Amino acid sequence: MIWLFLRFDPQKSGYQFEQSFLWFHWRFSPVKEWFIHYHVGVDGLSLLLILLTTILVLCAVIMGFALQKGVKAFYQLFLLLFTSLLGLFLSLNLFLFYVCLQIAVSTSYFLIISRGSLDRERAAQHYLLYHSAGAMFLFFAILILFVQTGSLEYILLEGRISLLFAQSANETWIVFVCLLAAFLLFLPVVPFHRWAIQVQTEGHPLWTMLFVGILLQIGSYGLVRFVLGWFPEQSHQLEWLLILFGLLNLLYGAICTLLQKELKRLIAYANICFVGLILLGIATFHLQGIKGAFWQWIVHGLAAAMLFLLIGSLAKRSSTTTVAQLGGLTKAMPAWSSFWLFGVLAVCGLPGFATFWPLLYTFQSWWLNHLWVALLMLVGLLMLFVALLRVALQITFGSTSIKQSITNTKLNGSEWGILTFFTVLIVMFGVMPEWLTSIMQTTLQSLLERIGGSI
Amino acid sequence: MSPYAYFLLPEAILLVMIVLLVIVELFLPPKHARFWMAWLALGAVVAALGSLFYLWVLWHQLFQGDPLLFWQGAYLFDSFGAGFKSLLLMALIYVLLYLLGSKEQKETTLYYPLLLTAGLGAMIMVSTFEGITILIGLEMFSIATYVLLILAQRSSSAKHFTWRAVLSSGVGTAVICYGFSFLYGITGSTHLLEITNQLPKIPGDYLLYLYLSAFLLIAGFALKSAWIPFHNWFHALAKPTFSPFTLFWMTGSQIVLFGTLLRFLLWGYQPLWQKETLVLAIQVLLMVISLASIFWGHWQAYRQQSVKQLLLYLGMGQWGFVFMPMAFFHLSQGDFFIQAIFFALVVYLLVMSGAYTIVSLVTERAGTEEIRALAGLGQQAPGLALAFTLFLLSVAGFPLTAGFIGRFLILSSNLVSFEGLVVTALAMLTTLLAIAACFRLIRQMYLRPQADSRAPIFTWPLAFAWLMSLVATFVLAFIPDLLLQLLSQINW
Repeated sequence: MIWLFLRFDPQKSGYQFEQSFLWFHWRFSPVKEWFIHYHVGVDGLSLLLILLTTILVLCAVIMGFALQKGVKAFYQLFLLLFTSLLGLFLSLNLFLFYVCLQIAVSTSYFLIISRGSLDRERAAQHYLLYHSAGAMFLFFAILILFVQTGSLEYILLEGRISLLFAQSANETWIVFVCLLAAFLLFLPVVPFHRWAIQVQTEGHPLWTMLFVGILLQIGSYGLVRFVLGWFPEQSHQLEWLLILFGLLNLLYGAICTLLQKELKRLIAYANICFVGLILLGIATFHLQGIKGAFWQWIVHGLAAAMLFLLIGSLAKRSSTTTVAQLGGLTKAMPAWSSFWLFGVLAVCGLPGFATFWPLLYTFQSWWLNHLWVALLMLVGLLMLFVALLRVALQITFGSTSIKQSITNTKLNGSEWGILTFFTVLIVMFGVMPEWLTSIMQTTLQSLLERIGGSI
Repeated sequence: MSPYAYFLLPEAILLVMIVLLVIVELFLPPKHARFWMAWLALGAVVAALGSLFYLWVLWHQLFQGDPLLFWQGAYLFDSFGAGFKSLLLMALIYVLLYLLGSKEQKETTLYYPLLLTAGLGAMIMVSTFEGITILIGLEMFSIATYVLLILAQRSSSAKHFTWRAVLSSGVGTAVICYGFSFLYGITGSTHLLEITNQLPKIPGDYLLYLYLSAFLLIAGFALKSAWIPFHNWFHALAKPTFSPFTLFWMTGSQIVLFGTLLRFLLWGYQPLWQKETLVLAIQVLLMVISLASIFWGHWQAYRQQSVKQLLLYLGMGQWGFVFMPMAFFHLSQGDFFIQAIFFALVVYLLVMSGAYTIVSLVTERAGTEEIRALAGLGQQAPGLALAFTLFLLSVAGFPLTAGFIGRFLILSSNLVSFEGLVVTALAMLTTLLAIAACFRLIRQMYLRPQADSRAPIFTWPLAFAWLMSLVATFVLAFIPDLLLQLLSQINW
């Protein structure tokens, strides 16, 4: 991964390190022969997500050393999930993308049911059904795309959809709507978000860390790569829908975060807000806004994963993660509390943290274009920050009438190492944002040129 | 005597073995063990399959893939027939392996000649353009399956379903004959190629009778195969006593009856596919059968408590998918839809046979057919559980399984019209039920505590059967080209 990162040329547009093999083919009609390729490669967009995936999986694997039971099955499933996620971001063929996506979904299902909390079965079932529904839409879109264009190669389809679908405008819309529906379900958008809350609450902390860091980004990745990238005209026409879902996620998520009394649910609803922010960033069709969405994938992924790691480590030591039963942790667990406060401040996007930049980019973009969206965004963000800071302060400095029983208050070596690593990354990207920007800039510009967005 | 009579070698092998088995059964004293007869029958089926492949290669060299008609057109050797015959013989291999591996059925020696007779009848059915020969094959197949059914039922509760099945199937034959009589009456011939030549010349007044004959033929085959809406005896097939018959019915029998119907529709009624009114009527009928099978099969599978019944209903849902391209084949350019159907049939046979074998092993061990029989399988027999999981994922159409590739081919062959688009969308929506049903079983295997500590009974024939399925489905999932290229080179 490091080799790939160092060899990647950020100035070059298009895909790099491409590899393509014929997987299978058949003759659809006497004049049409169809080919499915195993085609992989990276651009600035996927490279960052691959890097994030690798970092988070590495951290999860190290944290997994502490597992006592079912270690073999856990690592088998985890590595399968890792492979499928890499395949998903590396693939340059929609068929391969779908295959990797479904493997990631089924592997996640097994990880939830095998190692989650009490209500894990229901959570896993909902996760599977919602994702399967999204996958149905995606599969349907793939079928029509394939029959109409004869190819599922990104390179062939990018910017050429309108030409390839010249004779059938209706089908273009069907494919677009199916892709949009699929990725909005994967995101997830309110009101189809219950499964995301459930799996974050019931899933095993190590899987949840990966879920909030990477799996939650699949929806927005698909939205940018396929919906926006391939169907710019249709996306422009449905811009209002993206804004609507974005604001709905942000405001509804913020209100729900205010009402939460349990740490996992609190962060889960905060993630719903950030999905809204990503959607709002994408909906700008503007360099700053989309850059904000890209940034949000990476840095919010890191910050949210860090918080889930902390919740997991607290759950191991304390009998509860209910806010009312926690308090004064700065005395009992000073190291944990410091990292927790850092994580919450990072999620809130304070200047100096990497998470500051995406908020700034998105907000700036809306402020210049539609003030009312920027104001609503501000309201949502304020509610979210109040909710997060209130809880963060309550459990660290606040007092509690119920004395929580905490055993083994010190963080272990692997926890120290991983949390410090996250902290360094968040600060490093916050202080030197050009490190991230330089990788994504060329890809972003070529995307905007293709979709006709403003720079 | 035709110089090409040797193309009947697979049928001849089965015939010789049937006679041999009947004679041995007659003259062997009752105290002698008879389970080796199953090995003989299995040997004959394997030999028939081998000879069929040899003849297929030879036929390709001699006739470059053109249909070979002999005995005044009464018999035929072509890719379509050879394909269905190989699927049937593979299904028979699975059933015989099942009989060899299952302790209860070993001594029921009458099964073997009867199974081979049903197989022989089925082979005749798909190897001809001559209507009379088709009906002879159909009757030979049907009578043997009736006796198999009656032999299989031992409890009084099963009797009711047995007679219902026999009655439905018998009525089905009558309806097929009635439908075919219209074709004969109008064209004056019982040979499908001759009928194809005559149909464009018939006056418009007779079109109604042609429609009627097509409907009756479809209804007849639906009655015989328990396709929707004639599925009233379907549920009973999962009764324990019917096990070997159920496996044969689920795979071999269904495949061959479907092949025969396809032969009628593709060859007999070929000129009528240009007439829009007929096409629309048949298309709607086939779409309804297909969608109803998918929905009803998956919905019922979701509701079942018996694991065998669940599997049967999942099979019904899979049949719906196999059926779908038939509704749109007149719009297809080329023969891709046949390739897609064949690919899906191969996957169906492999997955259903493999899954059914595992289910039998597990339910026999647990002494119950309820879903709880699977509890704890993940811990007790991880290999078996993993294989069953992969079969279920294949049925649910998850990627990196052969079922996914099959579904991709089938559904892409449908997208030739707006109706195809709608039907595909509806079919995909209902597969959510299949996913729910399949994962219900998976949860049972991995999450529920084991009901008893005994490991599933191990027998070599059954282990070979499910391993064969597993390897084949795996290979087809990763290298579908192995089968796809073979299918695309065939002149259908």
